[in-house]
Amino acid sequence: MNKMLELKNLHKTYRTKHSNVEYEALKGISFDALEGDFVAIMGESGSGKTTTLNIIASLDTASSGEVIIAGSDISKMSNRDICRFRREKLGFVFQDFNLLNYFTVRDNIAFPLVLLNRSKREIDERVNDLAEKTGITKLLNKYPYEISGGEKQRTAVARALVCKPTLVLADEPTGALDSKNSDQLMELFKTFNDLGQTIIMVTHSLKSASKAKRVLFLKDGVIGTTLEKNGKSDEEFEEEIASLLYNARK
Amino acid sequence: MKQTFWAKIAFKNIIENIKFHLANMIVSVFTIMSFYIFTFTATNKGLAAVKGYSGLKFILMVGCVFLALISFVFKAYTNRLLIKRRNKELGLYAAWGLEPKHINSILFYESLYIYSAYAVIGIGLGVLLQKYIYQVMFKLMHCDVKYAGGFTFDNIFISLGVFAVIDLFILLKNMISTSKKKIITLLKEEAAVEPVKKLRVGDILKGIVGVALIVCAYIYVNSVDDFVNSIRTLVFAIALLFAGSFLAISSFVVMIELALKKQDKLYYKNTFFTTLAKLVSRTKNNALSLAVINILFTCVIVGSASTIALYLGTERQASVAFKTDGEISLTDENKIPAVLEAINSAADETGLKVEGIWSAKRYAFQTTFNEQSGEFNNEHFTGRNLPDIIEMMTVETFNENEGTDYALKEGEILFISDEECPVKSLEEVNIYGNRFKVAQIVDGPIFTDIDNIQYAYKFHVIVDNDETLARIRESLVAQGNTREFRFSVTYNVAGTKDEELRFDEKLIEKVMRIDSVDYMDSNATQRQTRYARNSIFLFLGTFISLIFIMYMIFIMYYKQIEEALDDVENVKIMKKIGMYGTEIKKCIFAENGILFFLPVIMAFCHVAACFNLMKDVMKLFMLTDMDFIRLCVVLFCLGILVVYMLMYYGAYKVYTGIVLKEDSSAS
Repeated sequence: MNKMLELKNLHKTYRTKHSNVEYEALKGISFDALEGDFVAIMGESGSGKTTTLNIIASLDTASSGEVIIAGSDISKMSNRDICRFRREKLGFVFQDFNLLNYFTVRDNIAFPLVLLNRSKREIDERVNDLAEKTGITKLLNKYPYEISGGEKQRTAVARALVCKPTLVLADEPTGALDSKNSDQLMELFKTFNDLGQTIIMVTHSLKSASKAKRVLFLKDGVIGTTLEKNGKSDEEFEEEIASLLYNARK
Repeated sequence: MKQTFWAKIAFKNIIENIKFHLANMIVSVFTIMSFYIFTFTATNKGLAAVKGYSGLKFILMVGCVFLALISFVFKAYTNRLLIKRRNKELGLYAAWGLEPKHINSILFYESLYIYSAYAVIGIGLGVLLQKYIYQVMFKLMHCDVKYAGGFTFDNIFISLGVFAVIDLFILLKNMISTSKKKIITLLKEEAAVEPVKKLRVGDILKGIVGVALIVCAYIYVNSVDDFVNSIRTLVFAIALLFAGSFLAISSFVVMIELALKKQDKLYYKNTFFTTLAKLVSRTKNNALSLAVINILFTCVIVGSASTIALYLGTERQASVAFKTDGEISLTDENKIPAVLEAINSAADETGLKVEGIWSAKRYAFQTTFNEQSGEFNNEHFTGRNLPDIIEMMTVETFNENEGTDYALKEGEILFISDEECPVKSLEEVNIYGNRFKVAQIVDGPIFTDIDNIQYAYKFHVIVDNDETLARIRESLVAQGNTREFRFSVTYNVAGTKDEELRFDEKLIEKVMRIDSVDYMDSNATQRQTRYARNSIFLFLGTFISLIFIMYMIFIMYYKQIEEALDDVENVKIMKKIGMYGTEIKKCIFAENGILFFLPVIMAFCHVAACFNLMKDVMKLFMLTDMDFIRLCVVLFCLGILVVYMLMYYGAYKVYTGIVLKEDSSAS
């Protein structure tokens, strides 16, 4: 399988505005994700997982290192190329949904396609197809403030997938959901991953991480351990993750 | 806790929220300064030396009252915007356990600091500038009046008192409304308003009513033919336009935007997608502010263009006020030689040459005229807005004054109708039972139509001789009309404006000693009094327009900050999804552009539709050169449009500066 994502020795240093105090969030992160991979990144608060995801998403830049997505080094792209790359190749799912309140559910999903100047026919086809797959067909004409958290997140998933992205990035996608909606969402992720969609997900949830094919554990800006699912059931994998975390805390 | 603690918190709050308070303070400084200068000018001894002092003082005092009223209205409105933004902060105080009295203390000290700051700066500036503003005003008046030094504490106390009352009222309102609200309401009130999904039937009706009100206002101002009451008509029209504009913007414009949103081929274009979706909500939520800006803009154009036209047109008004250089009116025919003597003597003393003197015996009174039957009586209903007046004189007087040589036989008359109600053919006229054959209908106006303003419809009857005139009067006296004959002396002199003014002063001094003279006026006097009056109007108009413009800027500036802060999260999402910075800027430029220029376009429509009414108001102040008024209005509109475009660009920069601000803390 082709490499979909390569991170090579990523470093990220933050400096406070006034006192010039430096803080190193990433201290040399390197990993690869293959086409159709489903990688979960776990770690305690401040371990650098969201920073890593933001750099992959090109929402932030690394202090040094390389980020190669489908053969393109995004760390060398201009701002405009990064934007184009983001709208064409990446899909995002955020903890707080990031839906625009003045758009209907349909328009929120259609937004990335409109930015790509797609025809209304193509927009309708893609939106209706994804709405059906995510189970929100009846909600298309509603506004985000009229639907539940789970429905909002399914809308966000549909929006993330509408452009048939190379890579879907999810930052704590179940963080604002109850257990039932979390399960439904992760089933959705699994379904799309089975269809070949590459997904990188940051999560705190053991249950969510157990749906992934691989789990990376970050600690103090470096990758500590990596667990592979390798045909285990979700429950077995969840237990393995839990036991690793338990032993790490001892 | 000690009051000093709340006082410190209040001070800190002002410093932290300075971007919200600064614009408000700048407008307040200018407003109190203007108010102080108005009161100072009205009560300054120097003004007493100007002709028509009492009238000018009255206009300035009305200006003060008007300024206080608009200050109150705008301060109350802008406070609504400010306090809405601060509700969350006040809610947090309450959640932390502060009692209403503590929150009230904070609000009180904040108001006190702001009031003290703007009052001291505003009045200080007023005191510093009063001499120069005063001198500029008298320069504009073309008066040689000296500045009557210093300042009186009365004016300072009045200014401080008026603005203290306004601020106190607003403070009390804030205190009451804050203490009445539940903490949760205060905390949630700042949350962004939900977007508009669709309009209800009530909203659609409101939109239709709004457009209907605007159309009604346009029809009303163009159908009322009553220039004497044109200011009242204008005020009523502005009230109608304000209500109509608010309803039209909040419902009708939103209806159009929603209809555009339904046009898939248009809406699902990169350029229009976010712009249209956001506009629907922004238009609805900003409807009141947009309507206020719309009316402020209309008022600024009408007020400023009118006062500028009035001032710049003073020479035009004065030069057409009388057909001759001056007129003296008296009741006793035997005193005419004394008046002639006074004119010649005043001319000798000032070294002027008298070019011509004419006298006339006139018999005039209010009546009604039936142009079909040619009958003058008190019974016919004319349906006209202004009264009819009949003026009679002998053919000898007419010929002498008009330079004609008409001749009439006994029982014949010449008839001159008003230009506004022309009579083409008439065989006979009947003046309260006295019948005459119309020898000829002569075109007007004639020498007695002294002014260029129409206060009445004037019909002139020229009779053959004095005996006929006396007979008509006797017949009318018998019917109860005791109106006397009047005599007028008109003259022309040759000299410069200054010489004519000196001649005028001398002549007034002389003729006022003649007991039957009851009235004297001249182009020179008119020029001076009109310059004085129009300068005061220009002075008031300029300051009040500047205050309106400042409030307009303030409301727009504040709204931009408020909406930009609400839009920060949306823009972050747009960027995450892959929207270019330039695309976001383009959307903001279009959205803000539509919101900024919607009230201006509506204001231009209002001004164009109300132009006839503006002409009537100008007529009331004796400016009748329509092309000149039109030119002033058009130039002023272009000028203020340029200023507004600069404002728009500034507001757009503020908006994009807030929403596209990057956190560049990474290395």
